[in-house]
Amino acid sequence: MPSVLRRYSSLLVCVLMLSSPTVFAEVEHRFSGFATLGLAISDNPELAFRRNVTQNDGAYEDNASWKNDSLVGLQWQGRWSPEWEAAVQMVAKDRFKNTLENSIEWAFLRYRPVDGLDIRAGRMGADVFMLSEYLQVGYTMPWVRPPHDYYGIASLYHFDGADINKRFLFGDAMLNIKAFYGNSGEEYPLAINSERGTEFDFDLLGTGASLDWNSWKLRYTYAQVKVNSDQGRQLRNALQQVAPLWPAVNNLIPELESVGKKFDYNQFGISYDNNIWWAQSEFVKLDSELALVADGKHFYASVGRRFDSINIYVLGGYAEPQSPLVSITAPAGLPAPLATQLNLLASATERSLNGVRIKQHSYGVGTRWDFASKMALKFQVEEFNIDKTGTNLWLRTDPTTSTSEDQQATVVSIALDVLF
Amino acid sequence: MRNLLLIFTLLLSGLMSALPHAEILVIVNASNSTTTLEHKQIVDLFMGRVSAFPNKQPAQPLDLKAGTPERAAFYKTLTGKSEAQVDAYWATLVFAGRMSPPKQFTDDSALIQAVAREPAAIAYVSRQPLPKNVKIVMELSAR
Repeated sequence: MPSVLRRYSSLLVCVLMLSSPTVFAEVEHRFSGFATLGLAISDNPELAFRRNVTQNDGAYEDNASWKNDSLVGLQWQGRWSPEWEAAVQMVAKDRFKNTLENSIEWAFLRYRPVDGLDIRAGRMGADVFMLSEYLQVGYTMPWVRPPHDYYGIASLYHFDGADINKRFLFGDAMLNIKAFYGNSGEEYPLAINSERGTEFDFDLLGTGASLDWNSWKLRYTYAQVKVNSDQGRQLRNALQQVAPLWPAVNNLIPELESVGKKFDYNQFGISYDNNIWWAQSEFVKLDSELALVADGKHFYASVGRRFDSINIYVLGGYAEPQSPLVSITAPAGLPAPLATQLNLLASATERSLNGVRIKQHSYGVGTRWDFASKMALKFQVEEFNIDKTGTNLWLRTDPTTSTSEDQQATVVSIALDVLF
Repeated sequence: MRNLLLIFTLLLSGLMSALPHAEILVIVNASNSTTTLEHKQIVDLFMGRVSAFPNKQPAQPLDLKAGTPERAAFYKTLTGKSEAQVDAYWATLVFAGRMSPPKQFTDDSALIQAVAREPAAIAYVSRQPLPKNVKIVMELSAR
C-alpha cells in the first residue's frame, strides 16, 4: 500500500466519523484524555538522552529536557450500538515532523458481531509490544516512560489497516488471539536538532496471543515489517561509481538495498501483579535483512511493591546487536588523491552501517505516588552504560565526531501524569 | 525496616477493621433475564473483559464518579485493587480504543434511575430499598 493511499485512507476514516452522527440515529459520545508533564536530566555531555529513535532532541549535560516525555492526548469514542464503535485519538507533543496527519494516533471503526470478537479498520495501535497500545499514556505504567533499552526502538505507534481479535475464556483464564495487517511510515532524524531525516514507509503484518490468568499475564507476538522506501541510495550510487576501481563493493551494494527487504520481531512478555508486589519483563529478538536496520536483542525487567498510594520499583535492561561490527577498507596501492577519496567513502559506509547498532545496559530505581484521583507523580533515576559501538538510541551532541570511548549517563526523570 | 513494615501493616489492618462493613448491591434492569451473577462474572464485566451477560445479552456497566468512597470500596472488594490501579487498568483499555469507559454517575439515585431506563445496564449501589424496575443480581460485603 503506497503512502499516498495511506494518507487518503486515514482521512477517509476521519470524514466518515465526523459525518456518521447524521447517518446513525443515536450516538453515545465519550471524551477522555491524558497528559504528561515530564522533565529529564542527563549528565553525559557527549550523548543526548531521548525517549526513542524518532526524537531529534534530548537531555544532556546542563540541558534538562521537557520535550521528551511531555504530551497531551485527546480521545473521542462514539458508540452506535453494542456492535459498532469508533475512536479518534489525537496526541500533541514535540515531534520530529509535526503535522496534523501525524498527530492522529488512532481513527478507526470497530465492529463486534458477538462479544469476544473485534474487527477494526482504520488507523490503530500496532500491538507489537506489551505497552504498544498505550505507550504514550504515562498514567498506565509505574515508570516515567517505557523502559529505554527495550522501548527506545519502539517508534512504531500506529498503522493504517485492519486487525482482528478473538477472546476465549477458560475458567479463570482469558486467552486473546489477534492478527493485524497494514501500512505505516515514520521519519527518523539523522542528527541532533537536524531537520534532515530518513523516511521509512513499510507494510506491517503480525499475529500474537496473550493469556491472562489470575495475577499472571503472558504474551507472544510475531510481527514482520516489509520496507517499501528506498534507503541509502546516495551511498549505493557513490559506491557504484568506484566499483571499477574497487570490485569488492559489488557485494556490498545489494546489502545496502532496502526496497522489499524485511525485518521481524519475536516478542515475549510476562507480568505478575498480586496488588502488592508486581513484576514485568519483556524480551524481543529483532532479525533484519536490512543493513540499515540493526538486528538485536532487547530486554528489560522491573519489580515493584505498593505501599498504599506509593509504588517503589527497580528496573534494568539491555540492548545488544546480533551482528558483529562491520569493517570496510578501501583497496591499497591507488594514487594519493583517489586513495584519500576511497578511504573517506569506506569510512562513511562503515559509519552508516555501524551507526545503527544499539548496545547498552541500564539499571535504575523509581517511585510513583498516586497523590490524587487520576493523578500520579513519578521520580526515577537510571544509570546507563552505552558501548561506543552502539549509541543509536542516543544523539551525539557533536554530530561531526564519533564516539571513541564507552559512555555512562545518569538520567534523572520527573513526571506528572494525569487522566481526564 | 522489617519492624517498620510490620507496624505499617498492623496500622493498616487496624484501620480497615475500624471501617463499617458496607453492603453493596449489584443491580440490573428488571427486564434482564439474568437472575444471579457470580463474583468472577461481575469482575469480567466491570474490568472490561466481557461486554455481554452470560446469556449473551449486551451489557453496559455504569460507574460512580471517580473519587467517591463507594467506588473505591466496590473495586477494592471486587478485585483487591485500589482506585488508582483500576483507573490505570481502564486507561489501558480506553486509550487503546478497545473499550469505551463505563459512564459515570454522581450518586446512587442517578445510577438506579439509569439502570431502570437502560435494559443493558449493570451498576452497583449501597444497600437500600430499590424500585421495582431494577433487580439485584449479587450482594457484596465490603470492608
